[in-house]
Amino acid sequence: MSNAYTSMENTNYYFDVQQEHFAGALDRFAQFFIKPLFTQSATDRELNAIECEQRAQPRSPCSPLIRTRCCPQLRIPRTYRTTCGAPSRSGATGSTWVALLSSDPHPLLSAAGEEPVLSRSPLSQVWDREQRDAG
Amino acid sequence: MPKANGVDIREQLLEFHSKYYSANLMRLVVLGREPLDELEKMVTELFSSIPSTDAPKPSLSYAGAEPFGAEQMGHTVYVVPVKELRLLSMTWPLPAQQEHFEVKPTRYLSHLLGHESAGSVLALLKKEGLADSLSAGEGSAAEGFSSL
Repeated sequence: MSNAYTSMENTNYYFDVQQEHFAGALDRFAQFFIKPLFTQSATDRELNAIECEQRAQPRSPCSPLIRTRCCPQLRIPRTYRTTCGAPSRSGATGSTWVALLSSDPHPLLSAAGEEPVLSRSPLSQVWDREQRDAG
Repeated sequence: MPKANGVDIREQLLEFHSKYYSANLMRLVVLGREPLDELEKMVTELFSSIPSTDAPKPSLSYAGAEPFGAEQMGHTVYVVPVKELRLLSMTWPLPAQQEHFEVKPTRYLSHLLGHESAGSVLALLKKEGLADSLSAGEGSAAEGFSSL
């Protein structure tokens, strides 16, 4: 089995293999770091796979949640609304989820149940910017 | 999409690789049944030619930032999930734990909090019909910062 992932600050490549094939597998593994091919076709395939994943799977609501908890630069409105999938240019797709920060109602929210005046939260603006930079 | 923006992804990958995949920024762990000397010999032969350009560690723009400042503390965030899901998550900020990797003091806490035997937190919550699973653990999100 072989795979790789990137966490917040590290990328990890790993594999396991039956003992008799270890030396050969380790050699091939090393080559990626010494002289990777990054062939055009493999690059295109990977790009396509990422694009498909992004389109097919609404993002977990946990990922913006983590950002609200961890991003010190972000001022979060007490109520905001964003889409679960990456916000598309043509309008919101995917299910909508709503997060409410406790304590007082948001000053821009005139009455409970009304649409918040802040329809685009700072959070989704950050998201948009990231999408743009990544795109 | 990248092509439309005039970005050559393959070129970018090669550039990224030559910039960051320098031996001084990389670590290798090998686990095998071969004797240590033999493993070391294999690794030395196979990996020595990875170039080392003395690349600087990527800068961490958030280094020293306080992820849980006064504005983030003491808040409850309610999220309506897409899935059918009921989850309560509580987070406490902790000082960086990396240097304690040999002792792992947070394991004591997470072991006790996450225990499932009679008399445990979960046992009580189950008895009251409040929970069907519970987990506790340290989350080391980034260098210099941790949480439980």
